[in-house]
Amino acid sequence: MNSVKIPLGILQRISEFLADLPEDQLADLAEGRARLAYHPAGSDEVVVPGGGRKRSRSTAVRKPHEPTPATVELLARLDTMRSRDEARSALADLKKAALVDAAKTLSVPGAGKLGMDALRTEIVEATVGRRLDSIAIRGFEGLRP
Amino acid sequence: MRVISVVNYKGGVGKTTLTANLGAELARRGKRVLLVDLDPQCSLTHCFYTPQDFELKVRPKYTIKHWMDTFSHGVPLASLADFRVTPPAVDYIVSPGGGRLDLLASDVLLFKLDLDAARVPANAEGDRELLLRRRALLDALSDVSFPPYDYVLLDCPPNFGLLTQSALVASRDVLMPVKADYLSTVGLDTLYNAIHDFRHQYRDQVGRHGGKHAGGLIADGEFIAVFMMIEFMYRRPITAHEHYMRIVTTQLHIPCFRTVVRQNVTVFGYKSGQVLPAVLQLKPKDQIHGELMQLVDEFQQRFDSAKGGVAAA
Repeated sequence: MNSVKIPLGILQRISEFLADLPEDQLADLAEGRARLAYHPAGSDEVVVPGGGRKRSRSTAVRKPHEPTPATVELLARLDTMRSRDEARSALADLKKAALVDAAKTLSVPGAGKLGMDALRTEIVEATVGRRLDSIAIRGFEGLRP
Repeated sequence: MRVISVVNYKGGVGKTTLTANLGAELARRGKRVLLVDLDPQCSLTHCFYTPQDFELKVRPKYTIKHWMDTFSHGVPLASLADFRVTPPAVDYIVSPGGGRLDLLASDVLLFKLDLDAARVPANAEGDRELLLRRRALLDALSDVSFPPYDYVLLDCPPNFGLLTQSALVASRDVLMPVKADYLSTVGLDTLYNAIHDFRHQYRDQVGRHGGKHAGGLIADGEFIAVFMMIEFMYRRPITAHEHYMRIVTTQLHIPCFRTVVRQNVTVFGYKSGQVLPAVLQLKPKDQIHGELMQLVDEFQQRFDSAKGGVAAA
């Protein structure tokens, strides 16, 4: 194969690949949310340009956080509380690991990087705080308008 | 006939995307579906007609505004059914399977409806006229001569004016498309507040005029949120979205569809000349196609077997 035929062959393979790709994945490629990679036949690894060898992201799945039993019990108690102060008191003596576990269970973004006071605030606002806000905005406590 | 309003105060949360794709796929599955575009922006209408076809074939005679123009003291003098159109591109796909999708198109001049309502005299006669306008859609859809549909989906404007009010009066259920962020979840509470207040106002108004809608607005129907425009990473919604999705279910106690609709500007951002919703264009192997199928499956599980009817039926 000469120097012209090699790139032509590659372009043809890429064309065949793109022709078979769903529209949303084509859009991801076009808009930079996905990129082409080199996947040697028979290998589990792909080579990303400039990024070395990496496991394919397409098969990666983020697992849900699994709370400890103490966190499950804490969140259940928070769901019954009627004030932010009451919730803050329930969190006052908890260690950082317990606060981080609760924040991760509540899917607080960046929970692992927050300080203890910020963690308490996020936990209170994601539970009692948001429920009290909801009642204030709705103007009633029922579940249906 | 199940009449469902697609409502949210907030704009840009996916009301029209949800209505168009649900309606089109239900019709492709053999259902008889009527879509009603109550938003003067005409977005739903433009999901099914090019601007040229709309101006030439639809807007001159067949919009919901033409029907409302026949009103005399709140009473329509023509049948709502006479103003329906059948978008041909969708019909070509759904009719072989026995389905049908009709549309009551919108018009930009619908925005004047609230201005007209504001000019109704503040006396008993004006109050009665306002009541009749609020329930005009309910009466029209309940009329025995109105053609039967499996589903009527009402795409509401992003406000709580007369059009949204008339949709809620006519509906049995409410779908609330919502983005998983702070202001959108606040918007759900604001909507609950508005519906709560409106329900009391409307019942009082019915009481003042001895009307027949004593059963109440959306008496035993469902209020369900549908998460739209969700960004994914590693096959799950990003953490910031999951945070607010959890709050809606555990703190706001609002029932939600399990299926969420992902953000994709290319697929859901309509292009000029496009007359088919995404669900009828995507290939079955497309990820978004599969998710939309799941959403319609869930919708049908909830509503197909449910007792039908408009709000007062």
